[in-house]
Formats: sequence, structure tokens, C-alpha cells
Amino acid sequence: MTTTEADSLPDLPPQVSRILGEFVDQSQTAFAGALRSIVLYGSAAEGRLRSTSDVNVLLIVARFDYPAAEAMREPLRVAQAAIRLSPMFVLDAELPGAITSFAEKFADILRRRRILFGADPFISVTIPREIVIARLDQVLLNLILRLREAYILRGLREEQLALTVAEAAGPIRSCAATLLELQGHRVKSGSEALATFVAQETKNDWGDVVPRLSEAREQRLLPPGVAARTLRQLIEIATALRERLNALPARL
Amino acid sequence: MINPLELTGPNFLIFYMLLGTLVLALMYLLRRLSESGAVPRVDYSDPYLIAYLRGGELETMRVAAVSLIDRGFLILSNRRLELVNDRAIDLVRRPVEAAVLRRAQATNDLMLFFDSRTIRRTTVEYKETLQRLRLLPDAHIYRVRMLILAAALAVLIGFALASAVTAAMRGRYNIIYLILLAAFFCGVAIKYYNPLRTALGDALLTDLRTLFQSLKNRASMIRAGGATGEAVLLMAVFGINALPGATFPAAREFDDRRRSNRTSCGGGHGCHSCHSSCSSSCSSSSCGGGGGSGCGGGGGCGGGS
Repeated sequence: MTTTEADSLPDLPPQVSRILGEFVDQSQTAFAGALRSIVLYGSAAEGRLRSTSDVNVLLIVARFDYPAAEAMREPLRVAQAAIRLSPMFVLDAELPGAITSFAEKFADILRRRRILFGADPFISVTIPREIVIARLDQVLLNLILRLREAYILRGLREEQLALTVAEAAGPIRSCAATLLELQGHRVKSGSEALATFVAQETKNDWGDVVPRLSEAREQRLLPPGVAARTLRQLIEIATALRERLNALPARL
Repeated sequence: MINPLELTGPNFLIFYMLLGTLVLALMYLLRRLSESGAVPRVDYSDPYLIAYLRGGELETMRVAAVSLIDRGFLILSNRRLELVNDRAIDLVRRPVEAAVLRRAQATNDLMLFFDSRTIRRTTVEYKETLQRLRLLPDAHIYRVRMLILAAALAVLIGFALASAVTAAMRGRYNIIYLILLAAFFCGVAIKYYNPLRTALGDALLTDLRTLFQSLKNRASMIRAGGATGEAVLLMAVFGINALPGATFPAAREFDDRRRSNRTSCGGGHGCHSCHSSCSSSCSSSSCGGGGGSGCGGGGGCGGGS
């Protein structure tokens, strides 16, 4: 696939589609032959973008030309302001290393991506299971530590807790999706994976956490008294995810 | 067919009101038709170009000043703007930014700050670019607007005069309501014949507001410091008022709504500076985009400190 597809993203808001299309065109102009691929990933790739979501793109280039990068300064600032475009610039030679170093993130990219320009760089990529497990464990532990800190530091301000919940929603959904994949399940989206995991963990009372996450992401606020409880539940879920992860065999 | 000049008293006044409304509507439609077309692509990576389109030169200067305060190059305290470091002038890229910083070297008083030909000169390029794209009226568009106004005034005044003469010939001299109505419709026609932007400019601004709507929605989350282009683009597209005052306290000093509630053009020189900068860029009717914020709202002047 070598065509620009950003102009044909009907499931994205028109302004997102337009800015994304312009960004792709400007990237092609700036990086020219060095540009290998532009990959849209995350919720935008699923067509489930919310008003508070970042639009994540991965640009794979043969080399990082500084003049080309400088030409991208203004377009990137505009795109970042208009649609919260969040780019990652990776050399194609760095890609294998990036995939193993950030296995959980790339597992998410493998799961939900759209190619906006160039060839699909992930078409034959599989991330070694033991690397995914190790990296997922690291991500979950990091998430738990950050959420604990936020629970104490922001606990007196409910609106701040709600923001923490909103920001944690994406990572924890992605972790749930990766875990279920490691268990051999087919996963459609992170939110569905989290809902599945919560439903499986019947001994815990996490029934309302999935809708609360969506509410926090959309409204950036939760009803009085709810944010702290939701954050506690997120810490418990992350812990449970980690426990289940650690029970998985490293190799199948 | 009834000759409208044969109508008397209230009947003629009703006719004249309908005529006046029709003339104003036609003026608006003719102007829109003559200025419409395909919306051009502009380089909206330059926020000052957008600020000029939205509010003219004074607004461009104000956006630049608030942006420079946000980036830490200027400090605003007690309605005085101070340059933090002389070397900042060499660090900024846009000529208007450098001119604002140079102005801060020359004067600190916010009341006098924007009464600067040097800063205004740096915005001429924006004006010319926007005129070239038919987003702001150029000499040709201005001539067309004048023609439309002249035709409208001819109809409004012509009918009023003809009616007055007819009434006088019949020995009736109670034409005060007719004079008031004619003055009202002529006043409205003169006030609105020459807005800042063309119809095309309005269309582009509407398009930009749609494009950057999500930025406005998350304005409260924008961080100060200028690391991103969010604050300056938000100001450029939606106005300085769109910045959250808690995060950008300097924006409050430049806030149109607050200023219009305080004494507008209260300080002698401030008033002069305001008027001069407005009149240099546009006619008196078109400064500042209405809402009483025209000259009064125009940033650095007035402001009733």
C-alpha cells in the first residue's frame, strides 16, 4: 500500500481527518524519499476517537534529516493544537529495537492501526511472548505506582482524581487487551478487553468501573464521591491483571 | 398600482420601513455576492495572520504581546509591560514579535504601547496577504462597497426627499418621523457597509473556528509557557478572551469584555492611539469587529486603567 489514506477516514471527525491529511502531505513533502510509512494507531485507528483523545501517529523514516524535521515544526504545532496529534518518529532501523523495548505499546499498535502512507511495517511482525509479558508487567507495575501516588497526592481534589482516572483509562484498557491476547483470546478493542476481564473477575465488585472510565474520559469529571473509589478499583484491576500475567507461562 | 408617494401619514412610514429593511437586506446580499467564492487555503501555521483576519492590526499586536508574556519575554505588572531580557529580541522569529519587544524597550506604559507605527508596519504584510486572497477588502472591493452604499443612500434619501416635497406641496409639514426613519436607515447603512472582512474572510474564519473547536473545548487544559502553539492559536482564532484567565492572567488585561465595561478610551492619549490605529487600517465602521469592542476593545488603548 503506497497511497495516502488520511483523506478517506470517514469514521473520524471531519476536522481530524482534514488535519491528519494535511499532516501526511506535509510529512511526505518534508521527508520525501526518507519517509517509509505513517501509521495511525490507538483510538483514532479504531474510529472511536473521543474529544479528549490524542491522535497518535507513528512515522517511520529511513533517516532523521534535521532540515526535514525543521520543516515539520509549524505543521506539527498546528496539528497538535487542532487535534492533539501526538507523533512518534522512528527510524526503520530502530523499529525492531523499539518493538521489543516498548512491546506493550507496539502490541497495541499491532492490534489497532491504519496505514496512512507507505507500506505496512507490521505486516509480518510478531512480538516474542516473553518480551510482551516482561514489558506488560513493567507497564502495569509503573501504572500501579503512579496511581497510588495520585490517590494520595490528588485525593483531596475530586476533579483531579477524575483526570487521573481519565488518563489511566487508555493504558489499563491496552494492558487488558494485551493480557487477553496472551491468553489466546481474540480482542477487538481495549475497552472490550477490560470489560471482559472485569466480568471474569467475579469475586471483585468492579461492576461500574468500565462505564466510569468512559464517563471520566468524556466529561473529565465524575459524580461526587466516585472518583476516589474508581481510582481504587483501577489500582485493584491493575494488580489483578499483573497477578494473572505472572501466572502465564513465558512460552507456549 | 399605488404610487407610494401618494400614501400619507402612518401608511407611508410603514412603506418606508419596509423599503429601508429591503434596501439594507439588498446591500447585505449584494456585498456577500460580490465578495463570495471558493475559500482559499491560507497558511494557518502563522497565528498572527489569523489574528489579523479576525481583528485587524491592533488585535495582531495584542495577540503577539500576550503570547510574548506567556513565553516569558515580557512581564506585565501594574499595567506596565517590561522586557525581561534584551536578547529576547533576537530569539523571536516573527517580525511583529520583535517589534513588540522593541516597543517594550522604548515604553512600558500599556496605554501608549500599541500606538506604534513600527509595530503596525510589521503587520502590513499580513494585511496585504489577506487582501490578495480577497479575505480583507482591497481597493476594488472597497469601491464596490462604496457604490452599493451610494445606491442605498440614494434610494433611502431620494424617497424621503420626494415624500417630504410631496407633503410640503400639500401643506403638510409634520415629517419629523420620516426624517428620523431616514436617518436611522442611512445610519445603519453607513455603519455596516464596510466590515473588516469580506464574505470570503468570514467564511474562512468560520472554517478555522470549526477546525480549532476542540482546542477551544480544552482551553482550560492548556498549559502556560508557550511550549506548544495552543495558546497563541486559540487567541488567534477565538480571541484573547478564549484563554483561561486563571492560567493566563495577562490575558485579562487585554480582555475586550472587561475593557468595554471599564472606561473605554478614558485616558486622553490612549483614546487617540486607539483611534489612530483603527483608522489606519480600516474605516471607522469596520474597526474591531463590532460589539462595541471596535476601537474601545482595541487592546492597548483605552482600557481605563
